[in-house]
Amino acid sequence: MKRLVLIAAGLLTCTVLALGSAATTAHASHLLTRVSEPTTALVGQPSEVDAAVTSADTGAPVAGVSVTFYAHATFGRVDGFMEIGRAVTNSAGVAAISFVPRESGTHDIRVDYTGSAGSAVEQTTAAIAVDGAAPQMYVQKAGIQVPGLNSWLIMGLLTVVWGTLIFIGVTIIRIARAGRADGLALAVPAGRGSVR
Amino acid sequence: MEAIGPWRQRLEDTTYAPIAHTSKIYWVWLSFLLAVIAWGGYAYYVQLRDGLIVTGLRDRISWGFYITNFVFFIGISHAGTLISAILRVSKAGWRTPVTRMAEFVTVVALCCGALFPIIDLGRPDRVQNVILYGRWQSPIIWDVVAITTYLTASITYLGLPMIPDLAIFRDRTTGWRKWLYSVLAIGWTGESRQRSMLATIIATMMILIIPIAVSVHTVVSWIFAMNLRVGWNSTIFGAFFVAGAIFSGVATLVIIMAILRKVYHLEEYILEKHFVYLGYLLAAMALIMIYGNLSEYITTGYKMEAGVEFHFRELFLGQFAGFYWYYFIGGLVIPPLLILIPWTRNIWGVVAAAFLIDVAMWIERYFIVVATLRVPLMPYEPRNYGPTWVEWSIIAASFALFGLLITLFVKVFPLLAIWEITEQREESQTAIAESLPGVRSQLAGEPAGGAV
Repeated sequence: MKRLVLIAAGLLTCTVLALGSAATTAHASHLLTRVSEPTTALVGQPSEVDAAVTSADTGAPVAGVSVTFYAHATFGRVDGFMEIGRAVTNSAGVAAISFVPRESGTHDIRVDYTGSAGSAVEQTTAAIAVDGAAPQMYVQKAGIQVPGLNSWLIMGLLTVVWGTLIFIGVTIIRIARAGRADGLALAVPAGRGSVR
Repeated sequence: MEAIGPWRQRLEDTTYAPIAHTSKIYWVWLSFLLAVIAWGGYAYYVQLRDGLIVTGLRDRISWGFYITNFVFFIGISHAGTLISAILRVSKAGWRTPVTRMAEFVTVVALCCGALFPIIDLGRPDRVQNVILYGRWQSPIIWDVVAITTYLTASITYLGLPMIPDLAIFRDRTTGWRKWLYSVLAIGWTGESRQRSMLATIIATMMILIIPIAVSVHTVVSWIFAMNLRVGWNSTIFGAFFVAGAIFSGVATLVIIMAILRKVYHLEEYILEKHFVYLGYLLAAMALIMIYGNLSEYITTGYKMEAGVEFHFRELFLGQFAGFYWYYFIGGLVIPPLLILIPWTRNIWGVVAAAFLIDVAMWIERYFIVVATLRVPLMPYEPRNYGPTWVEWSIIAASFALFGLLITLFVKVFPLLAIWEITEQREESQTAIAESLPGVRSQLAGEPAGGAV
């Protein structure tokens, strides 16, 4: 019984490993996509993404055809695949582009291949794990960092301006109250004292 | 109540007259403006329904009439700041009859201008993204913050000096108008503590609003100048835009003054000298603008990068040459001549110059936006932009809205700053009496502007 459990556990482990490897290598009827080593990319560093096109009938590489690469992206509530490049397959049936991930995390890559005219688009996806610091859209390399010249300066200026406007608003209320007190004082008959 | 003299009574009556009497022509004019706005509203409905495809805007030239109009209106909003704040700070006494109109032009122009980035978006609901996803590093955020602050400050600055005048109206009116002016006059009785507090906050505002106004048009220019595009990649854009804003703002004020003076018979208070003084200001600004043009185009033209050459050919010889040369000759050269030559140095000469300037400054904003976007960034054929009927209609509606808001303003609020004109007259009479004893009594009944 114990041996049976060990065999089942071993089979399950193999299945999980096989499914895991399919995350970075996938294929459709004509198309086989893979991400070149290292499979773990770094933020801001170029990684090569390959797509191999093979014949569905013979398994032979298909040279001189164009494939389009997309990366999944989310920006300002817009969510979808963004084209990151196009490449033509070489004699080994491999098309490659350079991809620079701007965020850490898992990136879904989709590769589209259109065969002969009128045939349906074949798609395959793969995932790239990207390591790096905090997610970022743009890595600034040039520029001078001046202490204090940043968004806090804008915040400080706005605080001064809006603080002054609030002071003016409060003074308007004081003017209104002074007018009311003045009106009441005028309304009190002589000899009965003043409200002020 | 303190008795007031016949001169002061006449001033109050003149200021109150637009509120008390409404002519048939007023209703015809109001109907015309509402009809133009309604047509513009229909055009905007078409744009909302079908998208920006109904305009001439495309991916290569994505800013056109709307952004041109935005910059133009924000520019003319500088009229109030300059006339009211700067001249108040410099104690220029002649300003008093025109300050109220200038301040109101500011508020109305800002309201009209601020609509255009939203109209240009195509999807107005996406304005929320500026708040939700805005970054302090972006000029768009600077722009939104600066315009919001300027609008708040301008409304405050318009309202503060109006409080004593609203109290005068409160005491003259009955019914709903009395209620309205009572609310707006915030219980003004004119007692010394109120006067002191009001004087303090007016002084604070006139200092505060000048840097705010300068920052607004500087930041508007940075929406362009923070790009590396040929034509926008300039270090003098901020100063150039502020100068252009004051130029077009004063020109607009001159036109509005001339119309209101004629329609509401303000000849006793708005004199020829007010037009001539503003004309001198226009002439000085025209010279600054000419200098700005020469400085900008000579420095970039001397280096003549590939994109600059294309841009210059388009601007000076090609598709935009007619616009540019009208702007330079019609808007910068002829107006100061009209103002400075003695034969045309009168009200109509200055108004004609102001009209030429306003048209030229609108055109300048048009070629700053469109001629620059026409320069290809990649190897593709330069694209053309042509506004469609939708854009023309919305632009017409914006000018009608500008006219409508001013038309409604003069029916509700005092068109002249009664207490400021009175104070100014008293000050000048005192000065004359001190220099020439015995003449004070003879000055009673003289017009304010004439006595200054």
